[in-house]
Amino acid sequence: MFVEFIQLTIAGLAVGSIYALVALGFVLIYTSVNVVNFAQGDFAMIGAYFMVSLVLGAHWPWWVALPLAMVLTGAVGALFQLVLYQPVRNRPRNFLPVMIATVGASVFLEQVFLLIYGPVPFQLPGIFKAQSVKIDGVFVYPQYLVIIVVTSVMVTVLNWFLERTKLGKQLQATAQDADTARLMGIRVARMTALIFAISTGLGGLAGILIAPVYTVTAGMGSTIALKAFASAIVGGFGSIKGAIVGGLTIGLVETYGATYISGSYRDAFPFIVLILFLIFRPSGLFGEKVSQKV
Amino acid sequence: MPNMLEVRNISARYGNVTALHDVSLTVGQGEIIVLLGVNGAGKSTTLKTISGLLHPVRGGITFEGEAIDRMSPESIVRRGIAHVPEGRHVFPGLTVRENLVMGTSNRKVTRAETESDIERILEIFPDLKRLYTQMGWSLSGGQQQMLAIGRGLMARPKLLMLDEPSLGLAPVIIKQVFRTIKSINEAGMTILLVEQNVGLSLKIAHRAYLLETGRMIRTDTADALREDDGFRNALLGVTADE
Ligand SMILES: Nc1ncnc2c1ncn2[C@@H]1O[C@H](COP(=O)(O)OP(=O)(O)OP(=O)(O)O)[C@@H](O)[C@H]1O
Ligand SMILES: [Mg+2]
Repeated sequence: MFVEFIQLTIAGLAVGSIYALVALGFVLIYTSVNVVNFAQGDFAMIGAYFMVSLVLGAHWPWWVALPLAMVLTGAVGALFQLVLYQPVRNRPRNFLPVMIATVGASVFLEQVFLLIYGPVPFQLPGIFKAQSVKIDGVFVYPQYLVIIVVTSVMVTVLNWFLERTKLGKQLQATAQDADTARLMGIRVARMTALIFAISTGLGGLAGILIAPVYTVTAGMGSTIALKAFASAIVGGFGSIKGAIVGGLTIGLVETYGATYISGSYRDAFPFIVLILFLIFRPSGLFGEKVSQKV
Repeated sequence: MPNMLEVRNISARYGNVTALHDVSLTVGQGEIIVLLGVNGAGKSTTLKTISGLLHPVRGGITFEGEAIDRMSPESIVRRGIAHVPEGRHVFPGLTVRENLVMGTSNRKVTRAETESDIERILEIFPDLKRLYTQMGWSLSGGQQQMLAIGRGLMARPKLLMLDEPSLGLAPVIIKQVFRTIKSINEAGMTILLVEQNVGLSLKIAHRAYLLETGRMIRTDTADALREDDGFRNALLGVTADE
């Protein structure tokens, strides 16, 4: 029993980390430009496909391929905002058109990658060859540990960047008051591009990390995006902390629920949690943070 | 005195609403110029057009001989115009220190330069010292105004534009703000001040302009306007019943 619980917890934290990474992207973009990027999940798919090309196609070692695939995904994200967001940046009430455009972009991206890579799913090897390792009598899938460790490192780096560097503070200043940031000389268009690059790069990383667990398909991003979106709402849709706690909560609930209650309702549990939150605590776990944004 | 800033016959609008008609003004090196006018006269719009948040639909603006009316705010502040906006607009989620550091975003600075500039600002506004690590939102109106002016100075501007720095402050604090503006000017800073406090601003300014519904209707030296009871009463009459 206990061993099983530990195994489930590790699996839940790993899946939750994936949701957290994508949720972070939702939250960073939302707090910066007040837009929900509904194509956020597709960047997980894009990251995974870049990894497929680099590892299965070009036979590069994973430790080179992983950061490169992530950066490439971020570059696609920067391009994405250049097309979708920048043209209407200064227009009043641009939020709705931009959000609808991201929905369209999501469909478009999935179709493009389906065309390029075809409908047959790809299977990426795990970073460690072993299928499972035994630690203290508990069998653990090593990719889960990779996911948890890499996510922890990335979140730490992101936090350091946003809180300890001048560029990070300039990003925050832009999110808080864009016009005043411009008066200071902060190049707001660049800051927006950077936020999109970071957000989509993190989304790409989620896809890269989860690819060995699932398979890589053009539609893989949509399921992740839905649950990440739920995570962001549970976390309050306003803070980094919220996105992470929300992601881990959804990941754990889903994993425990699938085993202890019913496997066939695996995908339903996150939404039950979401609905409960929307009814009883619509501002999410750390909802008060949102009000600090001007 | 050579003109540092020249605004020539500009018109500006928000959508279909024309807020400035044919407005001209000049600011010479070392001057304090005050731009007066009642609510909605177009004072803030004038500053926004100079700093690039808005582009004039007619007319031109030159700064040190260079046309700046098509430039972005990011470029204009790099050329040496700092605009401290109405309502202070301190970054609420950044500390006092971080707000000051943001002021240096218009140029490449070393860490040592930033530190020595912050030192200089804290000498001008000693009250900010004990608030150093507090968040912007937690400051009082007066403290936010000091921070906003300090942040503007962190840009090392050649021209400092202040939009209603006395707005919403207690009378003693207002006096203090005006004294500070005067002393910053005496240290060599050229200042374009937007104000509704006619008495105090005419005391510290060299020249004044008067805007009314988007038109420049009067300009003279501060000394002449101070003596002109008709001028003072016209403005004070309106500002008094606010
Ligand atoms: N963002 C805006 N959109 C539309 N109209 C605006 C906007 N800002 C100002 N206006 C209009 O432009 C005119 C000039 O406004 P402005 O803010 O320049 O006045 P002001 O002299 O600074 O007034 P106050 O003393 O109240 O700050 C006003 O009629 C105002 O209604
Ligand atoms: Mg104004």
